[in-house]
Amino acid sequence: MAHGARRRWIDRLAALSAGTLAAFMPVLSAGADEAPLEYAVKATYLYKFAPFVTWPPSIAQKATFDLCLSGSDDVTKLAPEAAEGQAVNGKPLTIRRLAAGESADTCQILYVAPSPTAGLLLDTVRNKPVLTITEAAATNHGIIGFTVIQHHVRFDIDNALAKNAGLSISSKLLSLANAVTPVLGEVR
Amino acid sequence: MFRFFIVAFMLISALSSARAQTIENLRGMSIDQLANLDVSSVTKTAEALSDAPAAIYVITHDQIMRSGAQTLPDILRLAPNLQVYQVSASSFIVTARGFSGNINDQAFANKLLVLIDGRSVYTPLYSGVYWDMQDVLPADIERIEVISGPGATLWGANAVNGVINIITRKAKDTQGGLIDISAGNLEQSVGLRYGGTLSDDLAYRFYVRDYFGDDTETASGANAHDHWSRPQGGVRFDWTPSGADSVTLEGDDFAGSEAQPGAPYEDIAGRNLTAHWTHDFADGSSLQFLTYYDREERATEDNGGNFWVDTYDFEAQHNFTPNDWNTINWGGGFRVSDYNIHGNAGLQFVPTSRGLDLSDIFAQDSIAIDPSLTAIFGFKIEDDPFSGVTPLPSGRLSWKVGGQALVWAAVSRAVRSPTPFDEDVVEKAGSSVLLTGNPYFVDETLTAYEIGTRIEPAERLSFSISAYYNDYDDLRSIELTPVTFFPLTWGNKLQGDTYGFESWGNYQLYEWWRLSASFTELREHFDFQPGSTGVAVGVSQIGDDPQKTATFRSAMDLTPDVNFDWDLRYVSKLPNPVVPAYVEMNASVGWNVSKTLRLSLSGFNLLHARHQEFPASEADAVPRSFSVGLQWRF
Repeated sequence: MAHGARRRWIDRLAALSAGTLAAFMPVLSAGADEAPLEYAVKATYLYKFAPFVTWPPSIAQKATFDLCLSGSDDVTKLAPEAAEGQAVNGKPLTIRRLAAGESADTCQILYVAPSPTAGLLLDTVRNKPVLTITEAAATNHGIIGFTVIQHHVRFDIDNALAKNAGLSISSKLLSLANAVTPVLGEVR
Repeated sequence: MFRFFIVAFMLISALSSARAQTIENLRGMSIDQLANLDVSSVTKTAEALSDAPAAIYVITHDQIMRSGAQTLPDILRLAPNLQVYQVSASSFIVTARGFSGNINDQAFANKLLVLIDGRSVYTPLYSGVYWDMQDVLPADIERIEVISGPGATLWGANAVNGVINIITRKAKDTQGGLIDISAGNLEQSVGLRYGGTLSDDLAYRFYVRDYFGDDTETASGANAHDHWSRPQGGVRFDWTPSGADSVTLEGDDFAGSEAQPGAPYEDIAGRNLTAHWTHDFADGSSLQFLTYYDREERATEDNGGNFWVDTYDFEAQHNFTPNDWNTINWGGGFRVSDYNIHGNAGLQFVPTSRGLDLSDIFAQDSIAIDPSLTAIFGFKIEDDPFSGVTPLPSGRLSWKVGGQALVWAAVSRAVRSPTPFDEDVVEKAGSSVLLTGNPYFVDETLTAYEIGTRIEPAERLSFSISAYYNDYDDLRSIELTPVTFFPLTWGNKLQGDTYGFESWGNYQLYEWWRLSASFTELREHFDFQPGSTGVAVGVSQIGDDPQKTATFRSAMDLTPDVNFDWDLRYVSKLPNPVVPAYVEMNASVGWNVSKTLRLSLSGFNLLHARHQEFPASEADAVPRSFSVGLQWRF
């Protein structure tokens, strides 16, 4: 084996040359991301729920379909990429990041990342036709809440909240849900 | 040479393969398919492990990345149920529940089982771990499960005081390129990793890393002349030919060189290749095969002695559920370690080479007595190289109290079986023999009694407490030759017990601020069996362990892209030889400048210019250090 000190210099040179070669590699590959699959799945769900939800007729007249993101987590980071160029019921999907304090009234779908103020924003749209989505474990949860069960990303649906918001959720989506909070008075 | 092969391979594959289009793939899926997609590679397995009836702590990928730690021993400091002592730039002692050893008495920490993706990395020569020979790119670690206490039935040989299970990420979770540079006053590291797919069901990654550790300081502040360097490279392939089968093939190759004060450089080298195959049957049962080859080499230059060890291992395991209240795991394994030791004037082995055969069969039944109460009975029979057949039984009970608490208890037997260092060693000073191995050396045994609980009283609060009583017998002792004293030899004439507890907790104050704390306590009582001739050496040969350790850690996301973490750790006085108690602090700031670029600044052991973690007669001091880090994804 080579003497230690000399070997060390050879090592450094080799590492540097490997690094230099690597520096030219971005042109060869698009921006890969290492965010775990769980969040990519959640981000994809956001717009995939839409075909199973019926909004009031007033919304049907809007030219675009607005998916709003509030707060910041791995889902809000991935959602723009996931939903880019998609259409919902023939309308182009617009992705909007809500600034702090910005109204969510004109959103059709609203994803609220966990944060201390998440509950406040959700309360402002409780009786408006906005499909709210949060983590199921959130204290103040949305109509749809994500939950990871046995390595699968599933969701709970609060149908009572949906009814208050004037949204109708298809039985197909309800059957896929992990748990459904029934509309008051409904027998399940 | 290996590196140039890697670089060439990297360029070819970059040209020929497309990156994994995870998001693209998800777009094409129906909502049913999304709901049925297995995201297990990323699910926090910590949650599933919260049912395990053992003292288990899981170091997560996120914790590792935020800490800025560059070597496995420094990463293992994150586990409150381990004690880590830095001895020199490249040498560390890692232990659980005492038994840190005594280097001057030739007692080296040797009671842990350490696995990297299922490959056992403690050396068969003395059952300790050469930590300088174990490296994983920190960004590729998925999680590290640290179990304190015996795990022989479940995990395998040498799991006496603990098990460290290092699990790396699947290739499909490390797609794209990563350049990871860390530069500091004590450590420099350059890592390059690239992952891609060859087809929908075959993903790969490869990496090269060069690590340099600079000279540390002696207790008096002089240069300890112990700098070292260690280049390593490796590949991993994950293939899922069907929904029921998954195959992993991975390997690493490294070489390094370490300065030794007053002696020529010591060179280290090694390579390994591991293959896993898991098949899931339609009835829910599964079959797993694991096989690996591992080579380790160490040589002191200028004919200062050298050795090599080749290990070949094959293991199989079958899990099935015969009815709704029994789950059975059973299997077996066979391991051969061939070695050759070319000693030097002071340290020799007779014979110089052997083939060591280790085999085992085991079965374990988890019985669901009712939905909240599970009993687990395990039995392993191990055929060890020198001592022959030994039974390793264990019984565990776990009880879920409501949805918030788990209470568990366990009784288990474990052994540290004899090694060539116990049986064959010959140490000399000039022509006189100082110490000889003992061909009649037997198993060191442990019967362990444990009880613990894990509680989540609120969504944001969780803690774990484990208490243990360990009863040891036939521990290795230094025995004297009557009248002449020398040569010394090994005996099995130490015995004793230890007891203590380990506790840790997490409090998520806000979504962006997490506090963690831990506290451990250990008491040791050892004495000599009647007839021991080495009483004068004392029981300090077993180890120099602190009675108390504590940590406090704060992890903050100041903004979604900036994190600030710091921790304090306290280690109480080491009793014999005395090392004063110390408190040290690490701190780290990380900034995700963009989706592809992360910058960080880390400081380690900030409170003192240097501090001593192990006696100055055996170890160098650990200096304060800083580093800046850059991680660039492409």
